[in-house]
Amino acid sequence: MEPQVFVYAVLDALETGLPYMLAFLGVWLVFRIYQDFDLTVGGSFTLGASICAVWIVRGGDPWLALPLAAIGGALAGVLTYVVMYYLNLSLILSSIVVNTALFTINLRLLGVPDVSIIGKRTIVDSFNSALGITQSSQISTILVMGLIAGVVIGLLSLFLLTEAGLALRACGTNKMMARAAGVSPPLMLLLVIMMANGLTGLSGALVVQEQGFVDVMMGASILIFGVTGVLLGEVILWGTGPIRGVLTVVLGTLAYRLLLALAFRVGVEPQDFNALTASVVVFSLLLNLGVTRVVQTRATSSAKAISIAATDASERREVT
Amino acid sequence: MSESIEIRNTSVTFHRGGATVRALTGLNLKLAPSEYVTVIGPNGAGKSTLVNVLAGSVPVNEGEIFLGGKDVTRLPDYRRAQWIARVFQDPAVGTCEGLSVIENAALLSRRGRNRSPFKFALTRDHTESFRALLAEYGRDLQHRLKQDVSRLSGGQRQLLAVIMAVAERPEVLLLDEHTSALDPEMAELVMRRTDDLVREQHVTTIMVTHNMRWAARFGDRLLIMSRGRIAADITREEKVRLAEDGLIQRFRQVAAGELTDSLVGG
Repeated sequence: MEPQVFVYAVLDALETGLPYMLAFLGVWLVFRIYQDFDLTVGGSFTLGASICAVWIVRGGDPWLALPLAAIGGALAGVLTYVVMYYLNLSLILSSIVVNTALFTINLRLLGVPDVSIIGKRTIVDSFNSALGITQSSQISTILVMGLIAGVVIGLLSLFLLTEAGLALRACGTNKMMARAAGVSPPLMLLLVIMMANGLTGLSGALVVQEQGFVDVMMGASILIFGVTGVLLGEVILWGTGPIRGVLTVVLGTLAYRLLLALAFRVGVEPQDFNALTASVVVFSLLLNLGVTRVVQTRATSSAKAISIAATDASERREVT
Repeated sequence: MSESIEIRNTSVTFHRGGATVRALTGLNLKLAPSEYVTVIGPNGAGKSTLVNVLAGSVPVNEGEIFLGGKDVTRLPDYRRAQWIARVFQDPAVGTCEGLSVIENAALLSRRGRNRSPFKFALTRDHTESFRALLAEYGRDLQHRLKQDVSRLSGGQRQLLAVIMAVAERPEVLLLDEHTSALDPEMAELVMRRTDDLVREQHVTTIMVTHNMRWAARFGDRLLIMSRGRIAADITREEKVRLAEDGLIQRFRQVAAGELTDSLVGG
C-alpha cells in the first residue's frame, strides 16, 4: 500500500468517524457505565438525523438543528424509560418496542424513506464562510466535527467526575452499594438513557450534515457499530477510570472507521462491511480474552503465589 | 428524647417455591439514641431480615418502622440512606469495584444527600479528612487512596466499608455479619476497629453476628433471635453480670437446643 493511501484513509476515518463518535459514546454509557443494552439508540440516531434534515430543508439554522436533534433523542430515551418503568420490562425489551415505534415516527417525519440536504447551508458552510474559506474541503469538515465532538466529549468527561457522575458510575457496577449510599437507581437509569440518546440524536444530526442526506434505515446498525468501536478501543487501551473509558471510545471509533476506510480504499465493497464489522467484534473479543488469559496465567505463576504470601503476611501483621 | 429506632408489631413473610416462610413474626423493638446492640441467633432466626427491614430493602407485610420518631415504613432503602449506613456481609457489595478507595469514600460521603452535576466528586478537603481517618483506623489504607478497591483484600475492603459508614456520623449503623467472610485474624481486627469507631462516635448500632463470643464481648445490649422473634433481650447490666460463660449458658436455654455448638465455638 502506498503511503498516501494511508493518509487519505486517515482523513476519511476522521471525516466520517468524528460525527459518529458521540453516538458511540452514548452506546458506551449504557453498555459499559450502566452495564446494560439500550436499543433505542438506533431509532434516536435516525430521529436526530431526521429532525435535522427536515429543519434544514425548511430553511432552519443548521446550528440550531443540533440541540433540537439532541432533545429529540433524549425524549426518545425518556419514552423507553417510561415504557420500561410502567410496564415493568427489561431495558432491552422496552427499547426494542420504542425503537420499532420510532421507525414509523421517523418515516412520518421525513415523509419519504430518504431526504437530501445537499445544496442547503450546513454547519460546515457556516464555519467556512465565517473563516472566509470559499472552497469547502474535507479538512474544514474534520475541523468542525472535531470541534463539536471535542466540546461534547470534554463536557461528558467532566460530568463523569462530578458527584452525580460518580453516583451514576457506582450504580452501574454495584446497585446494592449505590442504594445504600442513597443513590436512586431508577433516577440514574433515566439519566443515563437520556444522556445516551441525546448524544446519539446529536450524532445523527452531525452525520446528516456531513454526508448530506438522511435515510430512514441509517440507525439500524448503530448499536453494533458502537459496541464494535468500544471493543476495538478496549484492545488499544485498557484500564479503569472514566476519562480512560471516554478515550477508549474515541480511539476505538477512529480505529474502526480507519479500518473501514482502508478496506474501502483497497477495494472492499461496501456490502461486505457488515461482515468486516462482525469480524472486528470477534477479533476484539478474542484479543481481549487473550490479554486477560495471559495476565491470569502470569498471575497464577510464582508472581501470584508470592503476592498472596505477601498479602497474607501483611494482613497478619495488621492484627496486633 | 424520642427513640432512635422503633419497630412496631412487624411481620415479614417470604414465599419460596410454594412454601411460606415467616421471617419476622410480630416483632417489637426500641433502641435509644447511641444504643449499641448485638444480635445473635441460629440460621433462619430473622437476623438479616431485621436489618433489611430497617434499611428498607425488604418490605414489611405488617407493622411500622420509625427512625428518629419519623414513620419510614413506605420509604425505599435509598431514601432511608439519609439516616442509615450499612455494612454488608459480602466485601464485594459494601465497596464498589471500578472506583478507587477515595471515590468510594466520596460516594458515601454524600449518603442520602443531593449530588450535584456541577461539583467535582473529589475535593481536597474531603480527601485530606478521609486520609486522616484512614491513618487512624485504616491500617495503611491511607497510602492506597487512588487504587481500585478490587485490589484490596476482603478484610481491607470491610475495614474500609466500616470506616466509610461511620465517617459521616449516621443516625443508625447496621452491620450484618460483616466479618463472617473474613479469615479469623482479619475478622478480629475489623471487629475491634468497628467497636472503637462505634464507641467513639456514639452511633446507634445494630450488629448482627454469627459468633457468640463476639456477641458476648461487643455491644451493650444483646438480643437473641429465634423463629422471627426476639427470644431474649439482655440489658447491659445483665450482660456484664452474666459474663461470657453465663451468656452462652443463657443462649442454650433460650433457644432450647436450637443453637448448635458451631455457633458457640470459634
